Amino acid sequence: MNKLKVYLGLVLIVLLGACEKEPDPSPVSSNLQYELTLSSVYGDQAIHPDSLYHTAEGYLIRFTDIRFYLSNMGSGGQSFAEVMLYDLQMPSANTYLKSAANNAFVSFQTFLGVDSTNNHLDPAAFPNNHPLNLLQANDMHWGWNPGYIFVRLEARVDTIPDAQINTDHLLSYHVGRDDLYKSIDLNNVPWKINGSKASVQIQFDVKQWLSAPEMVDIRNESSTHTAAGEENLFQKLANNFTSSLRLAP
Amino acid sequence: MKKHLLFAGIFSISIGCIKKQPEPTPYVPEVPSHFPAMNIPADNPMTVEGVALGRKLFYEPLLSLNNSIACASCHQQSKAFSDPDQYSKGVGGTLGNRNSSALMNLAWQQTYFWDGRAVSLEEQILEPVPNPVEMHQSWPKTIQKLKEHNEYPKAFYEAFGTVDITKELVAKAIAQFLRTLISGQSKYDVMYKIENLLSLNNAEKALAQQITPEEWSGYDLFKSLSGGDCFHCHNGPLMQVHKYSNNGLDVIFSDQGRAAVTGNSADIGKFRVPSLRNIAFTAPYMHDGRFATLEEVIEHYSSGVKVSESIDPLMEFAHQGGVQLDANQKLLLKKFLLTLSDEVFITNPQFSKP
Repeated sequence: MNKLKVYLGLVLIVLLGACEKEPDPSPVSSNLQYELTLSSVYGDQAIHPDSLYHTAEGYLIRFTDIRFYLSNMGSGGQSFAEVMLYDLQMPSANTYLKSAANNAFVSFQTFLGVDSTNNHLDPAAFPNNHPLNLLQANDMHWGWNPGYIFVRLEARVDTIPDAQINTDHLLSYHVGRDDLYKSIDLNNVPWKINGSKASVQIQFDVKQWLSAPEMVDIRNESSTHTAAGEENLFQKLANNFTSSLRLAP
Repeated sequence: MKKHLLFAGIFSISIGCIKKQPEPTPYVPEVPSHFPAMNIPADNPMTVEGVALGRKLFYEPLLSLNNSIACASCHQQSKAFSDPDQYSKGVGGTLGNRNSSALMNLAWQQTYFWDGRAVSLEEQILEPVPNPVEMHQSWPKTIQKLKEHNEYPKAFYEAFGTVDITKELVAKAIAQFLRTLISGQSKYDVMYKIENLLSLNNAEKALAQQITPEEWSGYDLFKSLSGGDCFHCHNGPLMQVHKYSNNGLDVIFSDQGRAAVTGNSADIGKFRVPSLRNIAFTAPYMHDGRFATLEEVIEHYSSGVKVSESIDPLMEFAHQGGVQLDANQKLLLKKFLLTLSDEVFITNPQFSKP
């Protein structure tokens, strides 16, 4: 009899478990997974490291290093990313993801470089995978208090239009200082929607950067490290940057 | 009832006979406050037992063909774990073609060897043992020797919970030890912290009093765009940046450098930028040890730079042979370079032969 009671009890437990109320289905999410990719172009051509491009002056230019920081990317108080680092040599690291509501980012505001607070913090203090950590920033941090390089370009140029390719003219533009932290607006973001994913590409047009609104004479203005006496060039490069970021169609 | 008691007894004895797995003690490295957090691979956490085993293996000549050479033979602590010979001598006196790198702060490097062909410390450690110009012993033979040793099986069991010694475990143990080789207590570290408004501990405050005006002037020159212009590649607490660079040593390259790994002609003559820490101890200099003294190095950057297709764009004065320092500037620059010496590092008994 006792054994029968035990067996009946076990059966009851199993039945109760089987009849357990199904949990309420979770509400359908209205969030999208936003994917933003940074890239660099030369006019209408994608930039590949060590490929040759023709400049308006008739020079041949080969890019070896293009990097820049963008900070506080967001829209209407909604943050997309605190800091992003673009690196021509690391294409797989130039995509940033954010989950947010539909229509969260119909436009973007962002800033060239690093804001004045972050720009003077200890680069070793950020988490190791943070773009401002010393290991990620690498030589984008100057190693002394002035902080980070906001935009950096290194290239080799053939300035003599003859039959020989000789890219012996060296370009190095390292621009970064608190007062060069500049706002950039990108309106009407053309998100490509695919299910729950939305993607867009922001392009840094180097050809535009070196030409407008002020022309950069890459033959005679070939180097700046944002040092005293170089104001004309680095101010020009910082100002030009704001009109050289664009949304890919 | 008796059956139940018998079963319980057998079960208890069985439990007691199951050997308890060792629980290695976590090792917490002492990372200087101005360094980034240490990157430790998830599959090789640092333990006291692993570090001790790695240290023993680092000084172990059994890893070589005729039991004559250990890692420490070519990486000497008094030389900041570098080799004072231009080319290290392997088993039988065979020579390589590159100077042995100093071993310090390796946890913060991203690639290893002068050409960066190893992307992890564990991967790098696998190479010297079978290399004919280094220890020239196969890994199977090496493992056999370790297994037959009267101490290593127990040490491996304590560190990794197994007596099945493999080359991967050997590499892991040595990597754990190498990650403890942290150098960050030089005058330069104090200068860096002062410059970056970071707080100093009492020892650093005392060291700060010893920094001379000439050393500060040398540091200014080191950073100056119109002076040494050195900081582009050598800066920050690690005194290096992660890049490969052609620093103007040659026009024609017998050693392809990074290009041998990437296959990219744009990388010909480029080598991994080394740290300048402890540079007073790590002569000779450059990937092939061609410069015996710091004076020769300074002279190279001052007037000996050669232009080639892949020269680093940041060698901005290459067209004129270099930065053209005068005699006093060269002296000041050398004085600053000597501030990178970390006497604690080269004498730390925790890094010495056990």
